[in-house]
Amino acid sequence: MTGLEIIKTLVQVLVIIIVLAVFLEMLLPSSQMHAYVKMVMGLLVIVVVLEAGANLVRQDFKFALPALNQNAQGPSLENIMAEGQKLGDKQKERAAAEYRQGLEKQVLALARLQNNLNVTGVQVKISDHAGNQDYGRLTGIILEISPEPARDSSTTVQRVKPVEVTLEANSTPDKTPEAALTNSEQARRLAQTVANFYNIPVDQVRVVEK
Amino acid sequence: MDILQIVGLGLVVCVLAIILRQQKPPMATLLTMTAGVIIFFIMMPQITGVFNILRDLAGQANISMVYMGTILKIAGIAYIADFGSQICRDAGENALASKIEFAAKIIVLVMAVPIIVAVLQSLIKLVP
Repeated sequence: MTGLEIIKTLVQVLVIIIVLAVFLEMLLPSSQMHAYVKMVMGLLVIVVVLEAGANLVRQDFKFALPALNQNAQGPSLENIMAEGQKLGDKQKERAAAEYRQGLEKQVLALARLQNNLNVTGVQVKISDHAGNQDYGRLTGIILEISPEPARDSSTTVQRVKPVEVTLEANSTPDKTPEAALTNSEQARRLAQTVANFYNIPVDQVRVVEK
Repeated sequence: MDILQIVGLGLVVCVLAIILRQQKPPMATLLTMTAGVIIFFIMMPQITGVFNILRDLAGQANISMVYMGTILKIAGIAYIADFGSQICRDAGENALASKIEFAAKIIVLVMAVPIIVAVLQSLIKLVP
């Protein structure tokens, strides 16, 4: 900005201020109050002219105005801090709950990729103590599996079990110790997969039958 | 035309107040007050328009809205105090009218304190 432009701006501002002052003076009531209001307006004009002129000498005359808060009856700082803390804790709780729900859905989706087991539900435990250093860390996963095989939603008719014809009358082909062992092995493998995926010790993942 | 309505209302209320003042002076005061409030509310949109123009002008002159708000509040206080004190004087309560004006002066001075401080700081900074 050249010197001429600064002077031009200053003159423009001064003209506007004078027009404003005359206009405001016309608004004032013609009573004893007139002198008081006029005095304040005069002060305002001085301040504005000084601020406008400060650009010429490149000084900043804009000061922090003192706040008149003697009559203000707002809440105390302690109350505001306590309310803020309470609000923050509530937000953290909500965030933790949503995080837990998201994790449960993730784990369920991961577990259902193992077609051998019918995983019906997942419970996730996270460290939810707000002051703790490990806040939000995964501390345990419980996988609920059902002994019944998973129902395929695409088929509406239940699949017919293969019929076995045996000569021995007392034999029970469905519940053999081998089947239980296989089931246990699959559960262990599932727990290992989930533990590896989330990088937690395998003993924190439990598979329970429901 | 608003001015015809206002002058008409003023004249009618004036005649009624003169008549009522003979019979029941408190009713005459109440009537005057009501007419004053009605005229004030009729003028409200125009006052808003003028204040908006003043605000635009202040924005063009880079005047802080804090100063402008203070000035407009002070003008409003002066009007309200004037309105109240006139009513009190009409009712013959000169002492009460003086008290209202005193309160308004104090409030105006309190509101002017930030501007006074700003002027003083500017002057102090100007002195080398």
